[in-house]
Amino acid sequence: MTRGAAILLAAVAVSGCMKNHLVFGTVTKFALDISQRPDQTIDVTMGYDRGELASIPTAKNQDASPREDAYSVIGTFHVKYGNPWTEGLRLNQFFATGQSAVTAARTERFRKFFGHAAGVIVAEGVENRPAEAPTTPPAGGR
Amino acid sequence: VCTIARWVRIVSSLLAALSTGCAIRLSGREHYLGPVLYRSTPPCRPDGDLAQTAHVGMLVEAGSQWGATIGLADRIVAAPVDAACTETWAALAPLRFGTTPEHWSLSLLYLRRTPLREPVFVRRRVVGARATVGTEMRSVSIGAVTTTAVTPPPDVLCALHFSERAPLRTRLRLWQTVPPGGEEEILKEVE
Repeated sequence: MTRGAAILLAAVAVSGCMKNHLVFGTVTKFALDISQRPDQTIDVTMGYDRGELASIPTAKNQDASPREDAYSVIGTFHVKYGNPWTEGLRLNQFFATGQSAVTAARTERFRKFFGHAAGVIVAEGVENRPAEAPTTPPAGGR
Repeated sequence: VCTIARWVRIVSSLLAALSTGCAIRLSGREHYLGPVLYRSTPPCRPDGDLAQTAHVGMLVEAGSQWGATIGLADRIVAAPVDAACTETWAALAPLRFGTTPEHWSLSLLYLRRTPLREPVFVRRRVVGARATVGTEMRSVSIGAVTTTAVTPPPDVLCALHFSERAPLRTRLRLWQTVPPGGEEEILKEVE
């Protein structure tokens, strides 16, 4: 069973002096759990839950400038949750950070790779999208 | 009946005392007091160094994360290979269940691990009750909770392949620079 695949194509412009706390994470719970990650709200769970998290640092009240390096991230993030007794969790990730992300974004081969990955994920999303409800309300309805 | 109840109390107290451990994780060094199972990949593996520790009973944690766990606490860390290849395990009176590092060993009294680098990938699994506070997270839970976290350093390309079924086959590769024409070699790791 595939939970889904997500792609991160993010270019977050911040100043270069901040501390790096870039995190890609997953969580699977079958529990009563109260937890909080840095920069996140408190999460309360009772029962089964799972999720994926990507936390990319940003600077406070400071925009990027042409002279200051942007903290860029480009990558693919694939998570597969299988039967916990036979297969379990599988992670496949590939990403570039900082200057390597800038370089990768300018490299034709990497652009093709990430573009293809994004296309596959978008196609999966379209296939799995539920049928849309009619947008116009029925005549006379409230 | 009183004798049986007394023996049950004695045995359970003994088991609780024997299964209590402490993990102190500092930058560059980890200390484990009490019984802990551990294993790792062979040193200098090109696909990254991986270490797994597991504890059953009560575990008190200090250092980067503070807290306590009652039940199963299983932790996997992966770090990129260091040129020095100096990762070491030092255990006092360990029981080994195999001849290679990939087999489980049991440290009964004291275990020290000197990691190569700060881990890039951490997988924690807790089955039981846990309360923890630290830089990674704050959490109180009862049940089964599995978390993974990848914290890549800046200015790198990073590829990770992890499977719960075969954790010691985890592949973690980091590239600081891409050599001219080296894109295909990197993408071979990914695709």
